[in-house]
Amino acid sequence: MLPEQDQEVDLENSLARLAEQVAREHERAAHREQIIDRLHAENQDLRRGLLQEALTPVRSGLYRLYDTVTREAARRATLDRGDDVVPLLEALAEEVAEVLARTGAERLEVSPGDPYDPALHRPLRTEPGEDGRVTAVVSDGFRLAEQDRVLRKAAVAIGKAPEQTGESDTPDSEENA
Amino acid sequence: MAVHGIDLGTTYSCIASVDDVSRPTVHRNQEDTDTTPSVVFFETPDNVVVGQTAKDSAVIEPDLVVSRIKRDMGHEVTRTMHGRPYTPEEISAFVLRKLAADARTATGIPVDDVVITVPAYFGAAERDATRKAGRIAGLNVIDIISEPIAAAITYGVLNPGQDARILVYDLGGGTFDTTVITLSGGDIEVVCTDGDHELGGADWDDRLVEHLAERFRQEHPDVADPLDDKQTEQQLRRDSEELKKTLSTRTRHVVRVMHEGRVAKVEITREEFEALTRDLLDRTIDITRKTLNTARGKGVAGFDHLVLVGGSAKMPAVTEALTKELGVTPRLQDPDLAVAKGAALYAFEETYRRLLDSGDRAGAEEMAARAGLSDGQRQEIAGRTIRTVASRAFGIKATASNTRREYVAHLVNANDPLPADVTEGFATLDDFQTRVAIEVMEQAGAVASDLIEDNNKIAEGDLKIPPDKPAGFPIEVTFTLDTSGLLHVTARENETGERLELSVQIGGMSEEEVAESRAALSRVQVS
Repeated sequence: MLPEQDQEVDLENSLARLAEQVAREHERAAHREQIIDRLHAENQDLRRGLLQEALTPVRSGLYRLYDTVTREAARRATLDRGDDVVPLLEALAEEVAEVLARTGAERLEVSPGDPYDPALHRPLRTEPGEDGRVTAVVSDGFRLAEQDRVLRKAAVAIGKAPEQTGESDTPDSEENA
Repeated sequence: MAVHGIDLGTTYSCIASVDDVSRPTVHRNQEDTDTTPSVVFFETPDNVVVGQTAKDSAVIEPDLVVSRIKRDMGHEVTRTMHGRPYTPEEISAFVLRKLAADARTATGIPVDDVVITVPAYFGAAERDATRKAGRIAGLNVIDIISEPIAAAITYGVLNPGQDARILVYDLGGGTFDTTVITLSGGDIEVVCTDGDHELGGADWDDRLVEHLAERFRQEHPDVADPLDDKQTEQQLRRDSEELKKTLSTRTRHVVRVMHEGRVAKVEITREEFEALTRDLLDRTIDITRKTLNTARGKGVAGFDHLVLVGGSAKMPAVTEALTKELGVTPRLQDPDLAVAKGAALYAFEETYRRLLDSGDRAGAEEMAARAGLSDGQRQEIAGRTIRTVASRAFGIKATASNTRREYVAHLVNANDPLPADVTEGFATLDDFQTRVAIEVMEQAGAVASDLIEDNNKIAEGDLKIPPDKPAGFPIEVTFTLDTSGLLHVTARENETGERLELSVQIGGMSEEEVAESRAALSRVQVS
């Protein structure tokens, strides 16, 4: 092969390599554009999400306060001694719930008799009662209204029908006999 | 092609993949958390719930909820739910299906090829069971890798061409593991591993709960114990977790313990917290020192990098104690997700290399383009060959013809590079033997030994011998051990071509059972 031909081949090869490299760079640039679009969209979401994220510790503090006050009000109410503090505590709990609502966290409507829903209820215990239904609400749950997302499930007790076993029948029949 | 890495943990699991800027990204589940509790609730015969809801449901239906199934992997135990026995592989498969389904929901990309991580101490049987769990879940398991190796990949300390000795300290929620890894000439080796599987971050929380309750009892001896009340106990548990986190950033914090209308104001400083839990931390340090001694005994003196894994490793006391005891500042970055991310990185790179090796250059380039890799990065990945070595020795039970002593003849030794393919010749012991029992043995202790009692039998089978053969009739045994530590054994005699094929599965499921289970369980809904 003549030196000129040799050079030509070299040149062609280099050119092909260069073209390939340029094509790949183009591909990467297009890829980057796509990513910028996505990052932009994500950034928009993040700004909203960050606000929620920032509220999380505030809310968890408020939940604790709400639980404590509600619980103490309920405890005093059961002591049944016409305690003046009970309405005051209840009012305080309501105030806290309102502050929570202003952060977007609304109370879940859960009451005894509701069928057990794992998406809304966090069972704490079972107790004799109608099988698979909420028998008591131990602490309230909250949902983020605007996103329809449960922030905190309601802690509940769930009814469990007493088991019908042969063993439990035996003492009865003995007594009858 | 999207490939995923899965950290299939004892208490929590996590899934990640490499995104379009070649960074590993963890996919959140439908409950919007990075990690999913590895808890399975068999709600009905055809509906299974996995994750936080399953964990919550344990209160109502404790007999239908399974947790910590990882501890049973590789063992022959089943749990019967709604009249059907489930193997550990099948129960783990439900966790994997939940992770895969949620990742698909989050990204819109189906999960197919995966790398699953296992503890370094998992042997062939446990690894095989993990792989089968993936298959039952309908996934294509391209590899099984050790958790500390995955973590080291995330930390970027496994770079071929730079030999390194790495100490991995992994303090999870319920387990503690420590491992020494070396990277030498591109070969990754797990030198030794140790740990305490009953020690974890939950123990630190327990100490705080007890401390808070005790302070309340001291102040109010006339009211009931706060820990006897389920609701107060739960509040104390939440307060303790918060307190632990707060004390990681602040040096003192106040908790008001309220119970039965009384209040105990408890102020606790970081020093007090550390004093309360000193013995727990000391236990991890002792185990770490023991691991380093074992490594020294194997010729690995010291280490270049110390990486921390597990959410509980974030406690400042851990870094302080390790720095003081070992004289090296540990690296701490994203410790709870490091394993899943490393698995994702490994899955990505390995798939790229396999595509190149199989001649599918276009496929490999497309994959690289989608991750936005530059030419230089592509070349770097293609040239990176991370080889693994056998973690234990494997062999067959043999009898010495002169002394009739039974021993284990090793075909594969610990630290042999993988994949390994070894063939050795044996012979019949007696005249007119009609069969030879092939018993495959795996090293049980830390050091290889040819004594039968130092090994576990992991598979067995009979090879037929043609009639009327005198003692000394030759047979050949081949061990094939792949990179994920799975063993395939073939025994054959060359006269009639009789063969015996064994795949290691102690207490595991057969290939047919895996296929059947995959079909049967695909009809079960997982949410």
